[in-house]
Amino acid sequence: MSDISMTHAPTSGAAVRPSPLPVGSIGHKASGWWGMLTIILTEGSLFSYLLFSYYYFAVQYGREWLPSEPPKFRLSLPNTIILIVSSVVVWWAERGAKRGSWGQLVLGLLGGFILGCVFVVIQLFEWKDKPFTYASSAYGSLYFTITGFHMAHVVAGLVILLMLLVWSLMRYFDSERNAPVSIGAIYWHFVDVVWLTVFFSLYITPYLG
Amino acid sequence: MWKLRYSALVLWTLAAVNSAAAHVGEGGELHWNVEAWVIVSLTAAMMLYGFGLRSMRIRRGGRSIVGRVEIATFVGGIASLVVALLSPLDALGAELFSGHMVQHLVLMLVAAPLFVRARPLIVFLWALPRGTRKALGRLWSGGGLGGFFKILTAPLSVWLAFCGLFAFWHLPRPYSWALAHEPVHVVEHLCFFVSAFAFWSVVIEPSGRRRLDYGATLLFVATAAILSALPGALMVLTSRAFYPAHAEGATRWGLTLLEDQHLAGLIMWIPAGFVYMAAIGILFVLWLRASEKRAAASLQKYAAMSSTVVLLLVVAGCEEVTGVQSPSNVTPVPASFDGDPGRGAVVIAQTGCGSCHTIPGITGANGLVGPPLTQMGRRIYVAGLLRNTPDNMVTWLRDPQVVVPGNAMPNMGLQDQQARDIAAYLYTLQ
Repeated sequence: MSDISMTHAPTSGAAVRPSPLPVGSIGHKASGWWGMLTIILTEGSLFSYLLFSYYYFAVQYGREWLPSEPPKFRLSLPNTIILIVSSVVVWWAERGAKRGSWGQLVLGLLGGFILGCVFVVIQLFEWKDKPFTYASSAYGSLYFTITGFHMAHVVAGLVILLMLLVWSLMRYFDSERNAPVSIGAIYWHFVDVVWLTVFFSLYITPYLG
Repeated sequence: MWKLRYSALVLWTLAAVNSAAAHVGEGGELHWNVEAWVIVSLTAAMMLYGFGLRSMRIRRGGRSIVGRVEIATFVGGIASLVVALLSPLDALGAELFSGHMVQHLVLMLVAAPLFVRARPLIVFLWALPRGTRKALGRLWSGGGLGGFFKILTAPLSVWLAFCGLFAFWHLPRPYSWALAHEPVHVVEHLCFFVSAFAFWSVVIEPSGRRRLDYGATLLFVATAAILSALPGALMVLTSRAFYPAHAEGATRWGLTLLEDQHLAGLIMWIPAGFVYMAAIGILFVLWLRASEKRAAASLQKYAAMSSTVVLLLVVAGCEEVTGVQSPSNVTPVPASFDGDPGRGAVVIAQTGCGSCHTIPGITGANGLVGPPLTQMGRRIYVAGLLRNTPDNMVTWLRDPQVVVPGNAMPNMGLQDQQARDIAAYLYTLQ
């Protein structure tokens, strides 16, 4: 008879239950981490190509290619700040996970998720405000393709944050085994950095060109 | 002494300004630039470096962590700054956009890496009097300045700053803004030089303590190379001229504005690409070499483990037959090993091993940073990894960062003979 079945055998009325075996790797260098880094590499290349095509059109056709009034900052600037703050909050959550602070992890993930949702809603208003559609000009196509691709990545990030939040509530992570939190966080930071490059290209360079 | 240095600094600077002023207007259009502040800063940098080297030599007893390569690269760096900022290239940059791009590339891809290799900051620090050095050190470690600097010089921040600033200053409006206002122009060049210095520091890491391993550094350079080729590609791929400020200059040189821009784009794209390619190639070779050394070290480790096992079996099993009763289970120093313990003790004292290690027989060697080296001749492992043999000891002393990357022991730049002498001394500690 093996040791395991012996511990299961009730000896004196009360069953001695072994605690469940821990799941997941210690530290963040799990295979999922390397997988996420390769996703970031491919998605980073995708956005590089998209932004390069934007710049290519801009240098080919110059000022008149841009819409008559350049993109405004009324919604986009606060939205950019919201996304940066969400990244900081998720970073704070990850730190909480590493320190074993369950409250900080849950609160941070929840905060990141809510801020991400706010970003999506404001971005929808921003899209509605545009006088052009994806089909009206080359600029319109590129604008909606680039911000649309980014939005898709934000939504994927929100799904990741939501799953991390649920798992955290179910106490799946402790101070040692929290690789999924780091993997989700690095993706969220990536989405944030991509937005900064998109924001700089689409919103700021028209004033610098 | 200190006052003397200051007055020498002032005199030298004045002399430099005067002699340079003699060149004004000699070459017509393309003259030497005589901007006083550039000459003053270059001269000050050279003097600080000289003083630093001198006081390092004096205080460290004729040995210095800065050698010929550093001095040569420092001179090369100064020369390339003279070419970029004082030679007629600066005047050409005001005329032609392509000339200006050559100037930027010299700043970022030639001067910056040369200066990084010269380790100027550590030498400048030695030029300061002892009290100031200590105060700076305290400010660094105690004042929270170090933490801020750490975030600022993290590889990711450096990468973003390097690529971002490069792209930003080549956009038409910031570029013409810099061209029209001299102070902005200075800020632009400082941005390039400082961000490039930080960039090449991560790549070259002259202290030997790498923040990124070779593979990651390769990606670091390759991605920056691709991104900084893009502005050049955009300049070539268009039939619009973006930098109208160079219209007159281009005409004077028999080029159209667009030809000048295409030329500039190609220079940014291709010759600059060669520099990045060279860096990538060198990193690749170093990467392979380091992994080869690591593989060899782990082979030695297994060999050491199996020989220890065999030895133990022999000792346990047939003690009386073989009579393996040597006083230590460490290979004795073979007669062929060429090292002089007496010289070794001197090298140990000069290198300052004692500031981190406790070493019997060396005065003042009572450091608590690394392990004590008492009875080093009887220990089984070097660095917890290599079998303790004289040759392994030499390997470890010469290149500790390759044997155990990221460990606290710095590369002290020992020559082979110096390392042999040190090993010979350490084996006398039984």
